[in-house]
Amino acid sequence: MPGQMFVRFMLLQKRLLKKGGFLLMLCLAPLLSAGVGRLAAESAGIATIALYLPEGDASAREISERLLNGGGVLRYLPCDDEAEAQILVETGEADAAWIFSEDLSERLEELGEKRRVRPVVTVVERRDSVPLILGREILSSAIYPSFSYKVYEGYVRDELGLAGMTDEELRRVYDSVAVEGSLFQMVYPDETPGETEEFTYVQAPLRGILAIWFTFVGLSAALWFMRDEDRGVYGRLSVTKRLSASYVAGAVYLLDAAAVLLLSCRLAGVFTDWKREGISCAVFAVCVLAFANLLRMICRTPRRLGMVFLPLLAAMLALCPVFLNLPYFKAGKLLLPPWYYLQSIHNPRYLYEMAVYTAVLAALGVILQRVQSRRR
Amino acid sequence: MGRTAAYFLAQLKRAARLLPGQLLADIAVCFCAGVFACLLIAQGALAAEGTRYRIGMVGDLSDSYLGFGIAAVQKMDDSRFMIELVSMSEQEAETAWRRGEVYAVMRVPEGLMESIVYGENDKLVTYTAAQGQQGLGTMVMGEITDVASTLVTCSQSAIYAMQRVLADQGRGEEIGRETDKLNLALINLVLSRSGFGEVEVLGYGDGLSLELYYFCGMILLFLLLSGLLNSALFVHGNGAFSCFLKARGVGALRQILGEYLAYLLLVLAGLLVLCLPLGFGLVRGHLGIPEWEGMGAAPFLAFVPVLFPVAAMFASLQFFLFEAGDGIVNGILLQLICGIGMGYLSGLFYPSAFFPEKMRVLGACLPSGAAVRFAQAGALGKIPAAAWAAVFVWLAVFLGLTTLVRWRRMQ
Repeated sequence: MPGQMFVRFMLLQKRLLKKGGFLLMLCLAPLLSAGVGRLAAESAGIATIALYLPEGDASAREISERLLNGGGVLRYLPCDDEAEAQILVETGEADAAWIFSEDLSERLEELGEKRRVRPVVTVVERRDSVPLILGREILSSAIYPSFSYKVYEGYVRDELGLAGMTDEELRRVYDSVAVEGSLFQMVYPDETPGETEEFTYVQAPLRGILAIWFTFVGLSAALWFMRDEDRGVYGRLSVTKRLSASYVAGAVYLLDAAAVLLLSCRLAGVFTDWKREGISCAVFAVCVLAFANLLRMICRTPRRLGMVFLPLLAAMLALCPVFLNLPYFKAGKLLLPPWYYLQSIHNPRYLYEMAVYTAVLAALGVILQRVQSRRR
Repeated sequence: MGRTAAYFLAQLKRAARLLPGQLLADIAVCFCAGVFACLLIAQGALAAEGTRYRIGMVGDLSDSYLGFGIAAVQKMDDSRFMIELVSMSEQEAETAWRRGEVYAVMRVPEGLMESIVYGENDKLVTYTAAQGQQGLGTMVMGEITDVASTLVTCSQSAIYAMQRVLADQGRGEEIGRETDKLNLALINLVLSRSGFGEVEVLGYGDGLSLELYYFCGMILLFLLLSGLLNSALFVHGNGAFSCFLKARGVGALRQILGEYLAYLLLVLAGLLVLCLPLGFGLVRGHLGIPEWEGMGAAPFLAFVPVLFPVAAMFASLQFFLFEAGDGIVNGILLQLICGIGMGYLSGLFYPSAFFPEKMRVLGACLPSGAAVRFAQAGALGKIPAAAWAAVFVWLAVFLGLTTLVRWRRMQ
């Protein structure tokens, strides 16, 4: 029996790989992943900021370094003058302009001495928005290191009465005790630190897109099986053995797709490690197989199954954490295999839940198969 | 010509048989999309009120400085417009996180304040934000924590430097008093840090509002992926029948035209079904689109015909993919990967402005990019000739390619 299944598996594999359309479809996923992975290396941001900082000003240089070399979710367009920055906003090439005052260092020094916050930047925005609110926080945090230094300088000279201390002495003391590094660290539920994965938000949805694609490969395999059934390819098999035959047919599709999924994740830059990816992908493949087969048996005809595809896709896009992670419809999420897969990458608990869900789907498939074969 | 018309009518009858089932599936999609849109709007409304990220705080919160810091963030700091800190037990936080009631769980280690006061900074506040892998939200959250970290470490540096100066001057007894004074001054400055920028809002509106952008985006995505819904039409594709038709004088081009027009009508029927709840939502004011505010359904009724050329272009793309996929199974998978891939690159999920320059150019060159430009221009009431040309060129290209594939298959 296992030998027969293996022969059937290999024959189906041979038949599938002869199809140009199937190979084209398999090639498109890595192509998309590699393309986005490569293009994502370029500068991008959720808001574009036209940046004008006065030339030759020490504080301006420090702020500019913090903003331009810090990575982050904003994109900066350095400008030569104030007018250029303003024009970029007016023409819509930038969402906002940050125009620093010409006498930035003197202004910060004056404010530091007085320990007061007053405008040193003109922020010109087309329209207020959430990314620009975040942008203003980033702007404040870029100014704050220079400003807090000026506060310290002013405090020592005025409040402590040490006006005689030179700039160099003050700087030396400050540098000797300066605190660096972040106080926060993002960790995944499996304790993996967030910074171990270096990809941008442009690449982030690719795993989700690939997971949905993989689910549809499973559904297409079910459709393929139904067509073969209609053509009488499985005419010699008894109705009760059809379920295992459909699993074999689905496994042929999903084996190729699983290899492409892993390769695509790697090309997209969202790959973690082989062990974790391999286990998650294997459980996901079995889950998709059981899910597609159950749906096949519920829909019963290729036409009905085809009509389920778009609503199912809409549900997956809305409920799985692909582009957004909405905190609603937990019950709906629990029905979708990609949701488990996407969660399981950094949380083993979901891997077990996916395995349990797979067992439930497979059991339901067996029951439904028996009910349907009795009716025939 | 007569045979082409007869073939078209035969295809039309086939499409009409699919229509009831397709309408049901359309309604299901509309329901999903409607619920999704309502949730997005609800989330947007929350952002406007300022509670975007709800964060559960667990761990050692007993320190009075820390308590003051959390209270300050909650009540006085500008960040209260972006985050909401909720103190909870580990168990409560875990449950809330799994239910999606909190965006992240922040764990404060024991002795954090001592570590900060003594400048060691060896205890890190860890946060578990991402469900699955990191996404845009987690990265934004990372920016917020970076801001908080910079504010704390720079204030620390200023205080320690001042303490060192006093110690070097032999005025150790003053350190406590001066530290308190400088601390208070810095806290005050941190809380008023938004005053560094003088904000000037131009209020320009020549582009689309985010609401109208996503309104157009969702309709286009529906059209782009509607090939999946109409896949049933291609279930019984038969190469031998094409050859038979050719022998009867209906060549590849005529076959494609007959089938394509019937298919297009199916796509347009789906579009109209989608437009009904959208129009209703607009009239009742459930969809707050600033550009169309207070104008009732009139702008939307003018917008619907704008979508017809786009629907025709997407229908030709889907038709080509089914033909090139050589069968419904591969056709569906091609539809899916092309639809989602093109939609993503052309900014139907995230605004294209979020992407790098080259990716934006690529997205704009794709058929979906041409559709986005056309629909967005149509929504504002002025479609440039270039947008018309791009849509019709793609339409012609796909019909030409489909004919070529059919012709080659018949040879």
